[in-house]
Amino acid sequence: MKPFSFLKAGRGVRWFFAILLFFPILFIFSYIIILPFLNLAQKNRPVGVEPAVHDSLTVQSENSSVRKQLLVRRDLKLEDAKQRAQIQLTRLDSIYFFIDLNDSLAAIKIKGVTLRKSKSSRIYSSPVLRHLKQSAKVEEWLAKPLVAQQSWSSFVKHPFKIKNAPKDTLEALAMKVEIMAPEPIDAYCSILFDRNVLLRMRQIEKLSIKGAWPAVKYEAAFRFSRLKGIVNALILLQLPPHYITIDLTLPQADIVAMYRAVPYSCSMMLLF
Amino acid sequence: MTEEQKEQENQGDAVAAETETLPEISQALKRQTNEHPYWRAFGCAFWFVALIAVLTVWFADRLRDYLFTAQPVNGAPVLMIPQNAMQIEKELRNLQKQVASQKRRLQNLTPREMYLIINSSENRVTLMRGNKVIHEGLCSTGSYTVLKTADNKEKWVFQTPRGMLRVQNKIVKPVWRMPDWAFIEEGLPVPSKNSSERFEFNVLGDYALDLGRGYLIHGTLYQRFLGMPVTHGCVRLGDEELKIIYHNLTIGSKVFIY
Repeated sequence: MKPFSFLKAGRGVRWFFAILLFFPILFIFSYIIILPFLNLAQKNRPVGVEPAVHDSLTVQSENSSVRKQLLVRRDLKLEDAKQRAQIQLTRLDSIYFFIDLNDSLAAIKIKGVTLRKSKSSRIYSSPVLRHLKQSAKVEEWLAKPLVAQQSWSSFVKHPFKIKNAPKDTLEALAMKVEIMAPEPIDAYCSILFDRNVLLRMRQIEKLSIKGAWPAVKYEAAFRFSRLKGIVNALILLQLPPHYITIDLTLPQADIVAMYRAVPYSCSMMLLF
Repeated sequence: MTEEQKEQENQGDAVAAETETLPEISQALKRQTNEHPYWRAFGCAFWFVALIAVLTVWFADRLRDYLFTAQPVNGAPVLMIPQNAMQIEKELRNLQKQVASQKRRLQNLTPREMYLIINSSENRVTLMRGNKVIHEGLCSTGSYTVLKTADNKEKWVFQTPRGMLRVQNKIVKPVWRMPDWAFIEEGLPVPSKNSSERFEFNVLGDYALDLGRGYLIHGTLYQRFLGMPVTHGCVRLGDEELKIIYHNLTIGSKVFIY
């Protein structure tokens, strides 16, 4: 029995099938892909700079030099915004992320002191950042550090072990176990910050057989959360959010160290 | 034919009628679906749309990124800024001063004197001056154990705190004043607060640095466990590292733990 044999039943069936396919798929693509893209594109419209309306004393060459000065002013303002955000982070008592996409650098810092840094061998960043960089809101965006809201990982953030107090010395002796060096773990993690910035870190090393199931669970948890977000947006008649993804590939040890070092609601300084 | 034979023949026909062959069943199904093609179409369309929905949700961000890649960055509306050259120059000078001053401020955050960085994930310690590494070595940090009493009334978490701490005090030949958990963990009765049983000598090495809140950087008898998370929150160092770090850090020196 062929799966699409019903299409031979008549033109009416074919039209019915086509309509059943076309409208839901159109709705899905529009709601999930097109409308959020248009909404975000509208919010991050790039802007240029142009000198003011000229008076009779202004000549063409002066206008071009003023234009250059305006561009320099814009660069300085962006630099000022980045520095203000960094100074704001140095006032915190907690460890924060420092991601520099220009240098492919991921680091953790506290009070402005770099604790650990790592170069990403492969980096993917959403092209939305390119548009954001040219928009009028970029200064305001850069001046405020990002704050984490949710995180997922393929390994435990705090590997606590519960130990019940022994009743006597014999039980205490029986409870003593040989201390083993910690086993390497496969490191994949994602942290969602405010303003829909998603930082994903994956290890350079190949996935081990033992780490396959935790990695699958992690990815499934992340995707399910994503789906929940879209369904919630649909219920509230809002557009689903677009995650500005930054994907870093780092050594396993660096990911584990950095992810375990930062608190749950950590901050991040993003330079792009 | 006898009555018995007739009865057997009727039973045989009934059995034959009940057990249809497989090709006959599929023929019957085919007839049924061909009679209801619209339901079939609905079913196929439903599963197809569900698959498209799952794939779209899965790849939504990447698909939107492709659209952004296709969209040009330039070709935007122009922002008119009513300025004159004098105003812009003044603003530029002020901005340059501000940026330079903030840059110096950020650069001065890295301590010029000696400081310590303790990596509790890999149990490594690094003595730094500015951006230069002076000495590196192994240490032991908190074991992430939660010790609970049988009645769940008391609980201790053996974890090395993270963040920035300062050296509060430097001690030579430190003596360990054992807290309650040290007895409870061994199944021993807890002695009174001033009992001599609480004091242990020569277990914390030759030196110790007090970080406050009961946390110390000290030596250890268990050198073979260096590089592993085995402590109750303190940072244990080998003899060589302890001597170097003790003599290079002063009271007030910063210790960063992550």
